[in-house]
Amino acid sequence: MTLGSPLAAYARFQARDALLKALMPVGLFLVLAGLPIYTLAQRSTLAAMRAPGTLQDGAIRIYGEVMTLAMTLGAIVLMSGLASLDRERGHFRFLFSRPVAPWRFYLQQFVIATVLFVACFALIPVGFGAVVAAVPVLPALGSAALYALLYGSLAFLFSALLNRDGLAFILVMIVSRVLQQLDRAEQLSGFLSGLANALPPLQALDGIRTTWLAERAVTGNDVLLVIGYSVGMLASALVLIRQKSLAR
Amino acid sequence: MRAVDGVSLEVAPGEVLGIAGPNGAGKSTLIAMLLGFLDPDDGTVTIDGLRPRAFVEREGIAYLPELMTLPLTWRADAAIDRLAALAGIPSAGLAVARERVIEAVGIGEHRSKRLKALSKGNLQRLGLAQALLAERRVVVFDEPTHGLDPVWTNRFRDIVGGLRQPGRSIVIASHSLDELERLCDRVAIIDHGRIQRIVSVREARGTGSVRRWRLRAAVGADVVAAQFDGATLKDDSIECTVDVAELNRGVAAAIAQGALVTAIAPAESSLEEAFRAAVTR
Repeated sequence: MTLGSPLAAYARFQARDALLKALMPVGLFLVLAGLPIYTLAQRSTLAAMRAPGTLQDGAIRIYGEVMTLAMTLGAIVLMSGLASLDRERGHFRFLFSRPVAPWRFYLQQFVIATVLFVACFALIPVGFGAVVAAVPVLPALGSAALYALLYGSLAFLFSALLNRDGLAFILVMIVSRVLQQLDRAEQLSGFLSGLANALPPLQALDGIRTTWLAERAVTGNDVLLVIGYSVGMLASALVLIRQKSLAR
Repeated sequence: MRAVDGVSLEVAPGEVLGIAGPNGAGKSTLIAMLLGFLDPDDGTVTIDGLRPRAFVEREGIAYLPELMTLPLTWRADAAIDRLAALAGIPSAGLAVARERVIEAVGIGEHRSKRLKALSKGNLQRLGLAQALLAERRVVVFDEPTHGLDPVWTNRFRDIVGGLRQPGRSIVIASHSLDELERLCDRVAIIDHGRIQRIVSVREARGTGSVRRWRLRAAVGADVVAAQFDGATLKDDSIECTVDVAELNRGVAAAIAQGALVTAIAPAESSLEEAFRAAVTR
């Protein structure tokens, strides 16, 4: 029996577990964007909405706003509690008395969840394009992948570090957003400006998404910053899982 | 606060070791360290020369935790399939392994139920099933008969008997001294985080060491009591503390004087005696 084989065999169960979470943004989009767009269509006809004009512009505006919300919330839900729930609920006793390394188990889960998230997210621009108006698909998927990476690795890091990780995650997210907005407006200096730059680059990620969805080119530095920061957090989470006791 | 302190214990291949102790004695902490779920602040734990996590990640341990903490929305058969896959059982052999353990613990009629619909005893049997999925060199059961009815408590003893193999080490933590006495070769009694004593149960069962006995006599209970120094007599029941040879001599003498002895049994098991002496609460 090789070390890799039990994990590979378990991948289908991890995919099943992740699928529901990965579909959450699609559900959210259907509820939050579907209803307003349907109401707009009721005022006229679907054919009128499919033609360029005010109605279509309104629908596209709704699409952009709700997609951003779905992307952010979906990425958070996707990875929150990834390791901490197994720890708190005692599942780890059954999972890790078997010949698997916990860090590999969670890395595989992270990768599967991210891939499924992006794949499911494709349903949003493709579906919107089929019903209302064509929107760029690849930029939406690229943004979704970066959101899953950054928010997912941040949630995973807290999940590896703490038992009650949700609160710490939300706190860091809020502080990062506020400080980075102030820093961008040049209202911070010294330590606080340094702190804003050291925190997860959420503002840079929003910038990438906006630029990509407007089908403009993004500077490579921002993308590298987001990917590098995410990989750093992911690696830290895996090291923590490897080093810290599973029973805490 | 130290949950366990100064523990030194070795389990040989082929041995069944029991761990007994009152609540909070440190049994679960000891088991968590054995599985590599907790690292000791000081000292070492090794299995076959490896740190526990390295050993578990290499070949796995058959483990039944004290509490069945699997997600309650899982179905029983699906839970076994998942844990079988993770145990390294190839897809082709998954169904056979699942049926074998379901049959072994008799939960066939509950296989498609969600775990939240299972009784405590059936959950425990499911826990036992998942521990039996793969052949392992190390087996750890934490309170294995917790929630089982008397029929399945006996059946569990048969299962453990079947698991005994020359190269396999089995560790059983339990509150039930009777269970440990029946199943184990040695029992470590732990209290306040320390091993208070290790009782060789098999030796105690086989030798004529001095212990307390309870006898009953239909006729001549006073005659029986008179054969043993310090014996107590209440109605037809006599209690005395002697070795087996002295017990036989005294009973033979009482019978020769007309007494009718109807029952002889240890007043308490050797493990109970040791436990009582070791645990001070």
